[in-house]
Amino acid sequence: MDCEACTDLQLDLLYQELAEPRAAEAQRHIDDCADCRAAWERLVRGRRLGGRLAPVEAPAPSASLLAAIAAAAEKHRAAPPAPDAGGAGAAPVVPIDAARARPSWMRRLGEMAMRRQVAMAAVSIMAIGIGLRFVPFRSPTQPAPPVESTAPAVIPATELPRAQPPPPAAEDDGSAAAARRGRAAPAYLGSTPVVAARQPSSHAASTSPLAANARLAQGSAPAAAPAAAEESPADERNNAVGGLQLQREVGRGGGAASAGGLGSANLGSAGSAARGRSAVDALRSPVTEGTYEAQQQAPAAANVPMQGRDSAEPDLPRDAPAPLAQGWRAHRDQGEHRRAAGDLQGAITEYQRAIDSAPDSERRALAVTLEGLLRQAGRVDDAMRVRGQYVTRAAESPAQAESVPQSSNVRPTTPTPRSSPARPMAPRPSRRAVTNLNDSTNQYGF
Amino acid sequence: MSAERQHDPDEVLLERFRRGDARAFEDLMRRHRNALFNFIYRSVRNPATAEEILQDTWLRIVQGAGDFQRASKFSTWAWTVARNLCIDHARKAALRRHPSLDAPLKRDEDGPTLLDSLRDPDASVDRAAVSRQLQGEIAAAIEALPDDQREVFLMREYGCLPFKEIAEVVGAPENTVKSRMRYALERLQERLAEYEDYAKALG
Repeated sequence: MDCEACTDLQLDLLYQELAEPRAAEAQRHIDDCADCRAAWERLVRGRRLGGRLAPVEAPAPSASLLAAIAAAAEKHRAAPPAPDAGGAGAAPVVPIDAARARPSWMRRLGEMAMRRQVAMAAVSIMAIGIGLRFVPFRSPTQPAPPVESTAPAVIPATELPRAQPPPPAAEDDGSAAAARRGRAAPAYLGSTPVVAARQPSSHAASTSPLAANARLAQGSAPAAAPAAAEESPADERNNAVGGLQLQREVGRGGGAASAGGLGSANLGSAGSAARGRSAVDALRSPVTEGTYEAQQQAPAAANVPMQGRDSAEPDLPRDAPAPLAQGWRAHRDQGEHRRAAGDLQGAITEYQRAIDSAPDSERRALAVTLEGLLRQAGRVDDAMRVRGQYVTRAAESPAQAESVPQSSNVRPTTPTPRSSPARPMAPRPSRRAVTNLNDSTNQYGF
Repeated sequence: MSAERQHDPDEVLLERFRRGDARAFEDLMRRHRNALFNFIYRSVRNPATAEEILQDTWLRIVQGAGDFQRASKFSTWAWTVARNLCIDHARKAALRRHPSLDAPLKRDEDGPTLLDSLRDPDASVDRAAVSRQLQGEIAAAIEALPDDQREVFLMREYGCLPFKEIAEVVGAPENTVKSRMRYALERLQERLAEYEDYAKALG
């Protein structure tokens, strides 16, 4: 017997499970082999020590268990189980572990799936996936997406381009707005770093630095672009709603400007730098209806003198964000301008837009003017509809019942989606529905 | 238990129970309860829990007696049920730890340790107390074994199951079971070697 065979038999020998001829043979090898004897001694001493543990007396079976046994025995006595089919041919008891065993391929697959490496790989893939979710993919040959982060980045002033085409009016106005907030930092050409908004878009990337540089070249105003760019992201978010609203209005204003040739006057009448900031937002956002028009309008608005735009709206508080009511006032002013020029149709259109974007408290007055314009244009039916929809409805409300006389020839009002007080969040009609007054399908019923 | 029943194999007693003899099953319980209880107790390390699991083991055997095949071995079945219940319990409960050998015997941190007591045979030490402490140390050594080694050691040492039957219970090859047993004995020898003389002295 060699050592390997002896090692295999030592436990059987220790627990008397080895038949006598083999046991004697193994014992002889142990006596002759020092290594096997040492291993054997370790086993004997280990069993001697471990086996010294006195067994604990098991508790007596509980009464409930004895009752269950008696009940089961009674049940078996009443209906004895069928004898096994021949005993030897019967299926053996399968250990529970074996009974629970799955097919080998499934077990192998399960073991593989439970390995540590698989878990680590899964976590790594998840981490990479989550990380890629926040990494903007940008091909070197393609421009970056137009709307991205506005986190400030430090750009040395020396790297700003000296000679640039006229900056977009939107950014210009945004700079003025920031300057009016009193947070403008002088950014003279030199080594002073200028904080500018990081613009992934190639179009928008030239806004803040270009605006600052152009103003420096003109020498007419301190560079306010850094201050504009110093706006915290929180400020951007605070102005986001207003920007979205004004962006639509600017877009419509741009559309009207392209039709009437009054683009600069349109923005100039509103005259606010906050409006300019909304134009920046319009350039950044690709999702709204007025984006294209705003982009078309921005270069035209750049021709408006800075001083004129700054002084065009003295009633606005300088530190306050741009009010939402700017849009309807612009349309109202535009309408007045067109009416003075004799363009009744244009005035009607502008007043209609003013009503569209005005708060509920202002609509009635605008509707009265619009009604007059429609009557002047000979569109009596449309005038009556406007009266019925806005003037009469307002008069019917208890708050205005005393100031507005009830008209005797009021047409029944038609329900419109305009009744919602949450004006900025209400679903807006399409631009076509607003501007095409001759379309019988628009929301006003004419 | 009558002399006739004492020599009846487990399977015969179970068959009698299946025919309505409740006392046959009580004889079965009497025959296996100590071994099963010690196995369960050393596995779950709590006597109350061990008693509960033992009762549950018998209940399951009673409920499954009607499906038992006579060609099978009762002890294999019973130990398999007990082992599975212990595994279920171990998955749910945190294992208790026994005090270290170097920890004081009482709450007084300056008191003698078991090691001090055993190293001073001339001191007026109660041999019974030392024996109990040694029992506790052996129990701790057994409970410190890895699960697969401990269950094989307990089945072989206290359940007197042959290695082939242990292999059926744990669902592993017989050679694997023997390897686990060898590792278990060697670990016990290493951990308890310094108490070997005292164990001999205590008899």
